[in-house]
Amino acid sequence: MKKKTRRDFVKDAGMFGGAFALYGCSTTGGGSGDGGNPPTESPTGPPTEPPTEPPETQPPFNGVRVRRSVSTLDPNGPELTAYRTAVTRMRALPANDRRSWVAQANIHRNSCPHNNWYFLPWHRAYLHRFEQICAEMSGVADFALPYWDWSTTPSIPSAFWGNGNPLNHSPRAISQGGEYDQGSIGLAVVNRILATTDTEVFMSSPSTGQQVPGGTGQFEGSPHNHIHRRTGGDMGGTATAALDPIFWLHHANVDRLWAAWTGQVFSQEDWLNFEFTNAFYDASGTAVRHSVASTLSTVGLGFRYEQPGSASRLVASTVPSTPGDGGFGFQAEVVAGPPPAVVAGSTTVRELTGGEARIESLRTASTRIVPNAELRTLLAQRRAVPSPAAEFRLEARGAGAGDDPGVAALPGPAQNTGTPRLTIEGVEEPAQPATVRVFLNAPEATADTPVTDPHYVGSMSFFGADHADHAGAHAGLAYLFDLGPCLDRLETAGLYSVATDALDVQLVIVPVDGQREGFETSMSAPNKISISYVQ
Amino acid sequence: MHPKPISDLAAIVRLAAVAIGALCLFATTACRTPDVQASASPHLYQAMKNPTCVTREVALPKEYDHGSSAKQALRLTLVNVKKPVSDTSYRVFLNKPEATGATPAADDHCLGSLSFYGLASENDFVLDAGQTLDELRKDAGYKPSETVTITLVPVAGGEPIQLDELQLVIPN
Repeated sequence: MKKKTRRDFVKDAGMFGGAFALYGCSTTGGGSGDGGNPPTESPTGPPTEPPTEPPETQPPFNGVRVRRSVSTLDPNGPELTAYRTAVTRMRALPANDRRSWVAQANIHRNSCPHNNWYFLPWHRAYLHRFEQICAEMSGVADFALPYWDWSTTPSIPSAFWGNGNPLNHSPRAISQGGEYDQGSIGLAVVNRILATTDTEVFMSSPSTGQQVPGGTGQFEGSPHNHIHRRTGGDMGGTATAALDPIFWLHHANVDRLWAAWTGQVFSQEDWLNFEFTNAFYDASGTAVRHSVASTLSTVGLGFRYEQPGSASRLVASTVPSTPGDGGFGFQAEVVAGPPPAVVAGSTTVRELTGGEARIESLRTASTRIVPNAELRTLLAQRRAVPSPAAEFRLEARGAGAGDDPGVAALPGPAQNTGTPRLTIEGVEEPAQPATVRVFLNAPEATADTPVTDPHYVGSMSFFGADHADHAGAHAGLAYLFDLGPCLDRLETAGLYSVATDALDVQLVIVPVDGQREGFETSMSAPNKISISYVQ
Repeated sequence: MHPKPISDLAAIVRLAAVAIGALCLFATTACRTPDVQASASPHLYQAMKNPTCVTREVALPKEYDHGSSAKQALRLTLVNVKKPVSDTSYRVFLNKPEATGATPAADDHCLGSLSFYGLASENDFVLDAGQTLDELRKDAGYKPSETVTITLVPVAGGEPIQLDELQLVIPN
């Protein structure tokens, strides 16, 4: 039987029981299935700053939450402050409140599927409901769970350490600054896993029950398991793992990589229609149920990732360098897109405005991409046409899918199944430790331009570059970015018109330690920059 | 108390025989890996050098096209892997019987790694072997055969992996 992509599935959702089945997150009242003895929470020291009293009940959030990398967030910024507040308040709830910290951890203790094909969808539902509770507890309606991209930040972020910090957790076997095995979580490993077309390698193997082992896929068995085991302490066992606040960010990254994977999910109906045996709980503490099918669209659940795979999408470039074409050494022909199966239309003829063979630190390098008619059409459609997921969510609402605040009518901004993808290939690491920030249509961007700027697309960091060299015979690295969020911001702000404007891509070298003064380095210009539209 | 001097030649000979016997026993037990298939295996010598590593020959599926230059999907399943007593993880190498704990994961022959987490005391693990074999086949020096070797290496000095079987199949 031919397997379906997630997008195929969304398009065909009606075949699997209609709206109610796809977003079949029915309330069940009272809830069962996560009973049992609560694990004993390890002492972390009393939280100090965040308030413990519950906030006013929040109105339902009808937008799409955007999960961002924790490494791009200010430890004292609003996102992590909200998470600290939520954790503190959940810990202060009585144990019989299903939203309490221990009760949430108990769901994992008693019901988590591992070593089988329910692993990914179950954890997606689990995080989705936890995120809603965090929004309620923090008083931040659009709260989005950050993710910890351990491939590029291979130690637990500093925001999760420190006495009195509610995000710290004791015991952990690993100490602050302790690193994880690159052979298990590194970019080269993750990209190899992302490249697999074998569904069982990525999603683990079929089984006959939620907690019946079926076979552990490489994704679950290598990076996922390694993070748990190496972190140790409560994270090291299923009964207690979710007591550690880093658990949720670890699994958000696992979920992000699933969202980035372009392989085909299982098509067996006993998988798609499987309803998890345990209840989850929404922001009000009401029990809700999920089927596997209900988890297959992140947007359908009301969240997405700022950069689904870009930050850790690193592949050995197969594009030969073609210097001497008058620009950065970029190729100048129409760029072939990613594998044909996922490309609706590609891509562009590119003009160059740089004229330099190298990119110098603290200077902005720019190259222009002029979308061809096909790409302009796709970009315009992306803005104009609501996606099948959006339509379906509206239908689900109309069918009385319940008071799930994550399943609501979509707001105005387009949600489309296609993704405009920026690909930068043949990237060489700067001579000094640095990251390279990528902006769109921001010729004035400098190293001081913040990542909160609407023109900011993402960053290229170089951890793991040695692996890419190894695999690609020094062909350089390739980075993929989802341009969608940036294009949305610019178009909404009137800073970009899909009908008329070219797309200027700026690269800015930024020192890793933030010390601009006296910083000098350079890097070879990438071989190729292209935009494709992936469906 | 002084040890009793050995003045009897026969006693010396007996002592020497016992010592040689003990050495032989050590060579055939302590250095033996639990999953090396047959004593005649060409990997025995390597296994004795790396006693915690396990190497097995595994047949490629009959459908596997040795002459094709196209990518071919290939799945390696490790059947009934026992949960290790220590907290070790394992690296998996294809056609690298000399792999040791010092062989990096970035090695061309490395398929990936696996760790235990969850409740099961034994479990199957599924890895993608196609990408690695495709890359090795591009190497002019690689001569495809009907079998490959799979070497399982504990990371950081853990115990040898215990499992029932290794299978290579072309996924549906």
